[in-house]
Amino acid sequence: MKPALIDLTSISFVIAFALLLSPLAQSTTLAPLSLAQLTASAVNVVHAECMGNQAVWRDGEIWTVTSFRVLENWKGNSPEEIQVWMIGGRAGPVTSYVPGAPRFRIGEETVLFLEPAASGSFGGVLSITAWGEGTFRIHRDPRTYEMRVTQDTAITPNFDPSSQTFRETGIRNWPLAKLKARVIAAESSPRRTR
Amino acid sequence: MNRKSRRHFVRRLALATIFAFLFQCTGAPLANAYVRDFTVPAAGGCPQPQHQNIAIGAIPLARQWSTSLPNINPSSIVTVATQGTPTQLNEIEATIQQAYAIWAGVSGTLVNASSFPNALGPLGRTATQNACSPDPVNGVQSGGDGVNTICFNQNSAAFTTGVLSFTRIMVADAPSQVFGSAPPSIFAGQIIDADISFRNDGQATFATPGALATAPGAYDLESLLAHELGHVFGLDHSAVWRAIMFPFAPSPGTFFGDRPTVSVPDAPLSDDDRAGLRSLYPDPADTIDVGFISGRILPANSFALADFPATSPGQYVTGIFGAQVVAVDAATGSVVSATLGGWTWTCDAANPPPQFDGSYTLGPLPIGHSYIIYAEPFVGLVQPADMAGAAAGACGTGASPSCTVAHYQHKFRSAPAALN
Repeated sequence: MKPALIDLTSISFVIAFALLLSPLAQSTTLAPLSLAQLTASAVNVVHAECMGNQAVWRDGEIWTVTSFRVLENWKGNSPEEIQVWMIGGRAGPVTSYVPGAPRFRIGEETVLFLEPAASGSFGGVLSITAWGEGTFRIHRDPRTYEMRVTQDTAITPNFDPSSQTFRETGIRNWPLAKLKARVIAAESSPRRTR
Repeated sequence: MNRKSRRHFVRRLALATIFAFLFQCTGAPLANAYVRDFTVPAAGGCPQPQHQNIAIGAIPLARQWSTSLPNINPSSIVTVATQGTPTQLNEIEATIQQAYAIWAGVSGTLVNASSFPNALGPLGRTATQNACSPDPVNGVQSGGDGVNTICFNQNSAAFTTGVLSFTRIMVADAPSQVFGSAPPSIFAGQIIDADISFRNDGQATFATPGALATAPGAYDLESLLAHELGHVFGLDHSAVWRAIMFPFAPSPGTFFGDRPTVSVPDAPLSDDDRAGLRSLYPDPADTIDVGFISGRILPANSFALADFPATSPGQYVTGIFGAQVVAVDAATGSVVSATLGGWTWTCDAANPPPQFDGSYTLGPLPIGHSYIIYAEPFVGLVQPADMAGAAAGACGTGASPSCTVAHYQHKFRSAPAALN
């Protein structure tokens, strides 16, 4: 093989899973949170549809502000349209990339665990609790068309060297209704729900 | 093992029919080993892996840390030394140096301290508190100072519940770009500035290795630093448990892998971490870590793909698309490399559009070893619409013919596969 071709071929896996699936990338260094902990930490839990993204500078950083249309409130009372702030994005010629910061496509439906940002001029704006842990992508089962959800941090199967097996972490491929029921149960009785 | 657990075991352990071929390359190493991040050049063309300008003859990597520590009691940084003393700063700095040394201990890379002692510049100090924000120049927000900085007292609204630390990377998408006070970029995909921020509000504490035993509720600072430095070098997260690039922190009071030693400075890393670094900064003189395993993941029943529509005129889905593939050293049982596979694309106008043929490539791997290959599908959440960016990148940047990304597949039966 020609060296140039070798190098170009290597890009295939980028495309497939780093560049192309970057919206599905896992989070940065996180403390593992249970669903009950996520629910307790979040002020709002919503089923929402992404309406658009905009990059802005604030406090010396680029932020991506994503507008969502709230389809259903699971916890709290969010207005019909909300804006969610996540660090990183592209503003003019500057690209600020933060591994693990969730990104959203227009039209995409998600379940989001949200809390107000606490610091400085951000007081009151919403951000995602534990980033990828608080982001659940919704998809439809290709056979039944049932709506199902997978946590961003649980998308890729994880390989455990000690057992030589793949292991699931987090919430993968749950029916949307099941997640909603668990969230509502956690909200009403957090100590009994894992 | 009952039938249910056996079925579960088989599904988890390995799947599909895997045809793999062990290549013992002697030429320029490929770079498919790990999840890296890529930038599409502003002028178009093939996506380029994001990495630092670490090359033979390049200026050393600029780095510093902010000695500003959270002014809270108890401190969120736990050390053996007394809080607020110069000795405490020295202890923290030693931990940072050790975390860098972990990556600089990887053989076969241009980062390796033994082979390239000047790859990393001296670790400087700054007293500025929020030194990890892209600095405004002449009142204009511009994007970085070109110095890779570590901050323990950065005020950032990004720290929502559960987020312990993160790395923010400024990337150039063309040569000669100027961001802030950083030197002009050399190539598209160059990491101009990468800064690490640790939570500073007291909701999490971090302990140096010497203090960890006495602070069971604290996270191991060395482990988290090593993870974030992996991002600084251009690596994304690993799906391999025990890899330093696994996205979750070790439990409080514990640390990743083994502590580094003089003889094994990169001990906390997994082989998968090492393979990732070698893919980004290969030492051209390396003759050991130059092997690659390529193959295809195919359904046991070839008719399973018959109903999939063509991805472009005359191009059909011929393999499993979307799986985590892992190479395990048959002798030691350690995970040597992992990748996410399912298609090939040459990013070349003279070549056809992406082929959804189940292809994968693992490496760079040490040659002369035997490996067992495992594969596991994603769950069914990646739909063609999700891959719009993929189609744009794969079909648009290389002036290839237009194409449609294949349906993601996850309903396939598995059978154990091994190769020697």
